Amino acid sequence: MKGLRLAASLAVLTFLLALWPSRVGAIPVFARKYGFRCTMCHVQFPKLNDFGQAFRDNGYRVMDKEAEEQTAFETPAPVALRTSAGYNHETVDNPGGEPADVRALQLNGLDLLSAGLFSERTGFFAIYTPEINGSRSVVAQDGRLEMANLVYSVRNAPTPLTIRAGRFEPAYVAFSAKRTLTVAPYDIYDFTGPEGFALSDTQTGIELASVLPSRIKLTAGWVNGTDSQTASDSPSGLYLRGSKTFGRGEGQVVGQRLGAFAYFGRSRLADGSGDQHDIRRLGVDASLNFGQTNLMAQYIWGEDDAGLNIYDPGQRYKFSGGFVEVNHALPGDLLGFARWGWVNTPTEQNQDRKAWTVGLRYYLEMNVALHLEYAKLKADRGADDGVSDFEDKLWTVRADFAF
Amino acid sequence: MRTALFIAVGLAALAALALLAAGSGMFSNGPLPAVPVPTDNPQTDAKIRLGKQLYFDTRLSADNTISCATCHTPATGWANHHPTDTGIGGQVGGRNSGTIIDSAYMKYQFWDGREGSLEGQALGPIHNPIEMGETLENVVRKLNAIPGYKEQFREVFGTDVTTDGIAKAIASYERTIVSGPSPFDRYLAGDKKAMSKPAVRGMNLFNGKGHCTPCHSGPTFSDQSFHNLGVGMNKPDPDVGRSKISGDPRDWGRFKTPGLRNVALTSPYLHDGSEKTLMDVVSFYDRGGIPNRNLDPLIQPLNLTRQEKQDLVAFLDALTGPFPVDEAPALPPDAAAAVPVGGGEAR
Repeated sequence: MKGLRLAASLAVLTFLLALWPSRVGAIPVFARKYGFRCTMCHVQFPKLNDFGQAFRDNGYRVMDKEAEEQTAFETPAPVALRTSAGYNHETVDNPGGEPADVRALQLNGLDLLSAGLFSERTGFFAIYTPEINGSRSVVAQDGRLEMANLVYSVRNAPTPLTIRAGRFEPAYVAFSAKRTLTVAPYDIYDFTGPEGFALSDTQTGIELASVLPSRIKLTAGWVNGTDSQTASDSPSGLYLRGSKTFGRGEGQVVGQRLGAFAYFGRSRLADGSGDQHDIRRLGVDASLNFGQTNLMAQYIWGEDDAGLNIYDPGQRYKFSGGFVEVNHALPGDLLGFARWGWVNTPTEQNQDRKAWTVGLRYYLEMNVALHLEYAKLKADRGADDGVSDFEDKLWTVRADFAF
Repeated sequence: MRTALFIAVGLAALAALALLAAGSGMFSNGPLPAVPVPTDNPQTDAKIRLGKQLYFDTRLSADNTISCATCHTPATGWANHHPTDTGIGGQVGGRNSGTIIDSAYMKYQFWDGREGSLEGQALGPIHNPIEMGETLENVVRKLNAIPGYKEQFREVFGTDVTTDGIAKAIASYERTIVSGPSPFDRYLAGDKKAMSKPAVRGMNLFNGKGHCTPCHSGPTFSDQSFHNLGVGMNKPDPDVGRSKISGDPRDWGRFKTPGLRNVALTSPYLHDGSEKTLMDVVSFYDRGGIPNRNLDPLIQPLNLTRQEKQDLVAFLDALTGPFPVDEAPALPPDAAAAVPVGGGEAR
């Protein structure tokens, strides 16, 4: 056991020394392939800038350079990893449940990524998270293929058209839950009703995306739906998202982007029991840019059929929520961020949530960020039921790596 | 235990892969290789000497006032500081004169890439009606009447003066006009003091937030391709560039990506010389070019800060390397003349 730990430590040390910092050019998949720095595609990693967004929308091909592209068979091995390690101080006050008080140096999960092109028009992207048994020094992680999808760019389409198939982050997630600047997640995306459906979950299915001449971006998808579906359930989620950027850019760093989505699906209860019932989600979002400041806002309505409402049977289950986030690139490789989010649940569930987070990221290198964050999530248990509120507070100082 | 082993093996494997991959990349910049020389026009000292004389000789123009060196002047980075140039009879051209430095490495010559070799390029201005305005037949006739040229052509090519010989000689001379190691090259070679801190920051911006590398890639800092930045597209009857040559509507408004070595010496910039300084050019890109129906998708607003723009300019300055600054040679005199002709002088 000790030998293994020593081997692991040496491997980590070797890995970091090998890449630090004279190897800042040798960074994840696409950067290595093209010889780019991370900031070609990321405002600061992991958030995409306008170039990066356009690159993703173009099927992982550099715009106007499609003919020069090289496939994954011609380029360095298209693999990368992302992890973070540091000090976490998390306290969970959970009346009626398990409280927690963690104060430890921890490794916070591990993503293994692979991406590139199989052919001139077919890109791929995959993220695998290996199973990690939790311990005092390592945060537990489920082993799962988080994403694995192919993106085909249709030849001679009247407008740019891509078809994405496999497991992917659907376009209705206006602000990628996988590329947040914060450790704290977008709570409204993670929020699940009785059907267990979270918008932040990756989905398996097919998605078509096109940009109209008016620069309206339209995306439509057909996906499996929630994990509460049984094997015999046919794909049960349809969605449509439209967005338009006013001014130049993609609304990531420049331009003002407004968007809206609608999701219609069918689902069972989270445990897979019962019949399928309709679920609906509607959302509007905005990404506004002012100099080095990006303001992101999301508002979502959710409604499930009465058959899914375990809190107040016979009534439709309705909730709403959203968030407002501001991030600002400060001089000297520093990035500040703050977000406030909320979820309003039906009175019967009595789980209204407020979440806020504030922090700084200092980029030691473009692929190594020193991350400081304070996040708090509070679920209101109601003022007169005699039960304290749920609270989760996290202080973290960590190094966020992508290699 | 299995987790630790998995992580250890995974990290070690990735480290090995990353190390193997270090230094590669489709769009990497790097030092210039040896000058490519076509097999049908090998470099010889005599040919280079002849080409140099032709380069500086105004007798190649219709009214004997313009030579190659008139617009591509050694002392001003083998270009000049006019937005566009004046040819014979005071006629003003529509495009900026590009530098000769490192033109030997370019796949395409001229802003619209209408020639694919220096040999092809060398003859172009001679018979361009608003540049040197001479016919190739007349140039051959005039040079054949100059004993010194006739003699040299016989020595170099074994023939009288020919258009092919003129082109080859000038191209051979132009292949000697290459830049030496710049601070950027020395920095890449390991001299970390070769570039200033702003220049290093600018280098990182160049290949990152500045989004310069996708087009300004490779040793010359040119992708040897054509792009539409929207330059001049806000004017009536704009210059449509490459599409006039290729006939391809996708090339509408596209112009060749120029190399960037020694760019600090060759103001003004862009194909119409519309941007006076490097800071102006960087600001032009920061605004995302000029929107038009065929604007290159690579051209997007950059949201650069003033400091970042200054850093980019500092990096572009660091691409300045040593290069030959030739004096005009003594030229073969006309048959009737007793003394050699001074290069570049109006006659």
